[in-house]
Amino acid sequence: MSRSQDTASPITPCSPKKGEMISSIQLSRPFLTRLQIEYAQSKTIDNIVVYKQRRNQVFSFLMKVCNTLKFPMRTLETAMIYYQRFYLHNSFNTSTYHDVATVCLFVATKNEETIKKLRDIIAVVSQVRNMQLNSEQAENYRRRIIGLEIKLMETIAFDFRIGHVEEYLVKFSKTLSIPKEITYTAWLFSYDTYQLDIALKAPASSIAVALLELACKLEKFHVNINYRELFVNMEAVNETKVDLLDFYISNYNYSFFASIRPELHDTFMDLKIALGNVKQLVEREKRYIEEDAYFDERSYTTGERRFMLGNQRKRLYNEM
Amino acid sequence: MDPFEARLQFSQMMETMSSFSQTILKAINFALKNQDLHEDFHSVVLEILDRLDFNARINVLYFLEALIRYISNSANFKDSRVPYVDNLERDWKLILSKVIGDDLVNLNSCVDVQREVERVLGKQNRDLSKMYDDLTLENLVVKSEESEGFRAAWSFLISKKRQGIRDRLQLIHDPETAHIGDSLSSKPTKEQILKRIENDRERNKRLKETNWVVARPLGKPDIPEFERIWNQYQALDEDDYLQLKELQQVVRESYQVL
Repeated sequence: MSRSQDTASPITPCSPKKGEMISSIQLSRPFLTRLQIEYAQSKTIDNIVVYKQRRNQVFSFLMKVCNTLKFPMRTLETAMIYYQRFYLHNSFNTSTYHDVATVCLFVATKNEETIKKLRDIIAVVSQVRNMQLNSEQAENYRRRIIGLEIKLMETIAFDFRIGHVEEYLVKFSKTLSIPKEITYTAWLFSYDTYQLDIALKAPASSIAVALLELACKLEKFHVNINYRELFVNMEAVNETKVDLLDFYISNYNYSFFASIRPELHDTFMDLKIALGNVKQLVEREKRYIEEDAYFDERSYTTGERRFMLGNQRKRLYNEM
Repeated sequence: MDPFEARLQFSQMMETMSSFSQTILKAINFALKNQDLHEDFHSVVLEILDRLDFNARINVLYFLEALIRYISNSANFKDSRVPYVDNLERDWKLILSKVIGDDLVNLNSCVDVQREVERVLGKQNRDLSKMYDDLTLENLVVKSEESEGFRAAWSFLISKKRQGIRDRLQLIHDPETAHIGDSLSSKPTKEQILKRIENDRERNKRLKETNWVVARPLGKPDIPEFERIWNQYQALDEDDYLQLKELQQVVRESYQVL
């Protein structure tokens, strides 16, 4: 069954007459399929190779900032998700991506209740980037970041629901009596999933299940996880496994896990072979994605903009 | 730097001490850089407390707390002679009595600092700490007479709390003769009160940070950080299942592939 495309956003109820205010509704869709992500990025990113290179760079920059400010991993991870979501809908530009990363971290600190003043964050950011800012420049920089903040929040449609893989890892392990050592391995994997775009595709609960299953396989511990009981999506679990294993097979030396367990270099190929051909996220034909107004260019100037969480769509239909 | 000038600078730092971490850190660095003069600086602290208002006095005390914490966490002082700390412990009661003064405004904060400093140095006096808590409007019999270091300071704090309670009882039962009015001259001004609110807010914010700060000496996530997360969460409960169910719904709606 296909749902009519006018449910996607932004929606302009009727074509505006001269001088009339345009209003739009922006839905939040925190999880997308691989093709949807690629389509969105094709509109905002000229060179995906450059984007990915800079993404690694910017994530290690964020890691340094978080180490200095002693933020927990969850703050860093939230910032990494925001950063990637930002560039689904805003064009990527090599001169400003550090600023975008900074604002992502700033919003993440609020979301994770690890509050730091923006001034303090900027002080560390400029130190890590070797920028010498006098107090006036620092103040200007602060204003620029605040200007970006609203743009970021509009991009994520004010959707601050962020799940954490670490939380589900522990909760699932304790529920299913998976040993702590194996959960630790899965936790080490989790940082690598944030370096990729897995969190844009799969929710934290599915990622956690995938990582626990991989860690159990790696440590040869038998576990039987009932997806239905945990309300996780099998396709998203498989998507996570395939992405992570592919990353380890082709780029193990660049992974975080390799810095802790370098000797496991060759094991991931075997895990991939054992996984076999699994059902990943269902993709629609490209033309449907192209018709989807959700991927239209975002307007930050439209007169009236409303933001809605995706699962409030029923309410939206009723109003229309 | 010659001792006279250092002394002058340090005394200026104490006078303008605030609740901001930068100011505190700057003073700590200065104190450690010139640690040969620690005897001098100690006497500066004792002298200056007599001249400051109650807000500035408590800021100095919080600085001393931060200094002691910094020194005892620092690896540089593990084996060698430790500056400042011994003198501060010896005169701790005197320092608290100056910080509290006549008006008792700083009493509660002093008790917090006392507990924190004892914890940092591993010299807790749980018996006296409990005795302090036991002292209430209904129970005034608690008494303590100690004369050494932190224990003496506790005795002093207990006596101050008793005094406060007595004054209050007298005010309730016999307002005419209560001598509370005598200290009206030292009643805090509106400005002082606002400043105190501001300072306490800043300190409270810093205190909250201790709930989440994670030190990564290796520059990357490590076992202690995982231990903390492991202990933070329990097995799934009913609410978790509801949340998981809702999350599944959000995910389905989000892909819009059906």
